Amino acid sequence: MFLTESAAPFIREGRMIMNDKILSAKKKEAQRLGIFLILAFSLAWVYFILTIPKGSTWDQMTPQFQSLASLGMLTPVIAHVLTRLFTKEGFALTGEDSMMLGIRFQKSGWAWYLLAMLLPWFYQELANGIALLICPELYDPEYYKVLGIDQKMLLLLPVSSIVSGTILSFAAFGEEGGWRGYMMPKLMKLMGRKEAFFTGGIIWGLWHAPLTCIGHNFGTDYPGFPYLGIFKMCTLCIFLGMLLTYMTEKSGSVWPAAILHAVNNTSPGILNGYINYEKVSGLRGNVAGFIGIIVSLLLVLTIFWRLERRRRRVGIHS
Amino acid sequence: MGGLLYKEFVAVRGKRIVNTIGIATLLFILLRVYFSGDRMMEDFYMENVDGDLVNLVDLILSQAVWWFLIMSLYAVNRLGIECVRSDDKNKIRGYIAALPLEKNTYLASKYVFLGIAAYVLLSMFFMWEIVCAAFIHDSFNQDFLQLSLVFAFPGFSMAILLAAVEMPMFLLLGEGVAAMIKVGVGLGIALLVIYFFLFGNPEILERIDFMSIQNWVNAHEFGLTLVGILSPMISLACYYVSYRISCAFYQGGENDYE
Repeated sequence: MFLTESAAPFIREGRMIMNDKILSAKKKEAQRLGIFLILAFSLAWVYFILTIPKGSTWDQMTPQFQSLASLGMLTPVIAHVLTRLFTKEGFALTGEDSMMLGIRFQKSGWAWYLLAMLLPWFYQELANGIALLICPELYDPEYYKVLGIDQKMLLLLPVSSIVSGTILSFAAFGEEGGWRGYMMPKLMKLMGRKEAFFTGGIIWGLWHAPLTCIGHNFGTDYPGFPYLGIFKMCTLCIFLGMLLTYMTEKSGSVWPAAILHAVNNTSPGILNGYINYEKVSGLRGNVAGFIGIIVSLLLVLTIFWRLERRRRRVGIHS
Repeated sequence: MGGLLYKEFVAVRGKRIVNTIGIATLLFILLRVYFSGDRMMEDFYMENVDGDLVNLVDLILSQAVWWFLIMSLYAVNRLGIECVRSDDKNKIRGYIAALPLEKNTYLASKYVFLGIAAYVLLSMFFMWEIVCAAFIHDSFNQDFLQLSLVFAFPGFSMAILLAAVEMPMFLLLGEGVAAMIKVGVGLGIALLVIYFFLFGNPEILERIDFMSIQNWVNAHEFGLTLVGILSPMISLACYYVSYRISCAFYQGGENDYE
């Protein structure tokens, strides 16, 4: 009792110093994150404004200009590098507070890369299946012909998408190098995991806003354009962001996330050639597709969550 | 591994290569944007044999993209040799034994470095192609540039396959003998070409032009797609087998005191 009473002022002072230090560290991280977000948004939005022809929608742009505008995906990683230059955080490739660029194949590290290549095919086919269950009118047996794809090529599409997505993942690396490599670790330090996932997804979705507003993600022909599209994009980014962050944390590298993002963008689903959203007017078709992708992502996340819980339980008991 | 990769980067004078590519890329982007296809005056257009109007500046810049592809393939080959030329097992056995890591890690760093270099060069090539294509306005140049995409994946796969053959050769046999074998193979190919021109039918070459290649590509789209998918997978599988063979070569003949 004597020791506690006499030590109490010191303990209180120690806690205050610790709290001040924690607050000061958090303030520093928040400032760094702020610099990164300002750079990521300004670089990207200026680039999009410069490369997207005035008044045109995404479908009105030539494929060549669409590709040119897509190079804006490199701006988050450029913002990451510039932020580290300004804040003098250093350029460690691996470890704590690093750029998370390491590649590790030993001790089942290779499994994350394989998962990154195959998961998008799995959840996109599942999403398409769910969309067809909710709205069977979406099914169009000859839609692949409208898309200009040979049926033989359609069957090759998943493998072709996986190979080309993996090898040409530099653009996706441009995004993941910034969002998963810098933004998410900072958000995790500033707030709880759930809040970080939610906030990170909203930021990522809003970053896409200039493209969503010209119809890049969901077209322009839907009720509530473009605000509903921005809302959908933010929601999708929250769930996809959770999967990407999980893969980054488990592998210790942004590369699996970059590969998953790249393969996801190539739309590797065979059923994509048989689903025609223009067949169903109004919101019904779009909502069915949206529910499909969200449910399939939730399923994947739930599987990972249960595996993680089992792994921790086994770890505790052993 | 990070330290070993940096060692390889310094050994191949990586900073100079990166600076050269960076300056070339910047120059290319500036030229491409300034001499944009729709800004060019009529003086820069000419009619080809098929009656299509061709922008000459676009043609020159499209050729620059082709050259970047060809130089990248050459660079992958040279980098692969530079990584291993001084490291044949007889020369550095003692050095590897003194390092605080396994021999396999030391060898893996060379293969990983070349893989990263090939990935970066391929990515840069696609960026050049995207920037160039966005500012072309005549169909001839668009088709000419698109043709480079058809050959990019198989080309890089071939370069990786060549590296998969050369790297264990240089590591096992040493620089002198491996270089001799390479020159011998090159001479053999040169002799075959000379034989073809002396006794073969060179008129075949007169029938090969851009349009015939374009038509051939259009006629074999499915096959070329299959080649584009399979070639990276096969070459990367061979690359991994090459790494295991190199590790086995280092294993054999080594005195392991662990």
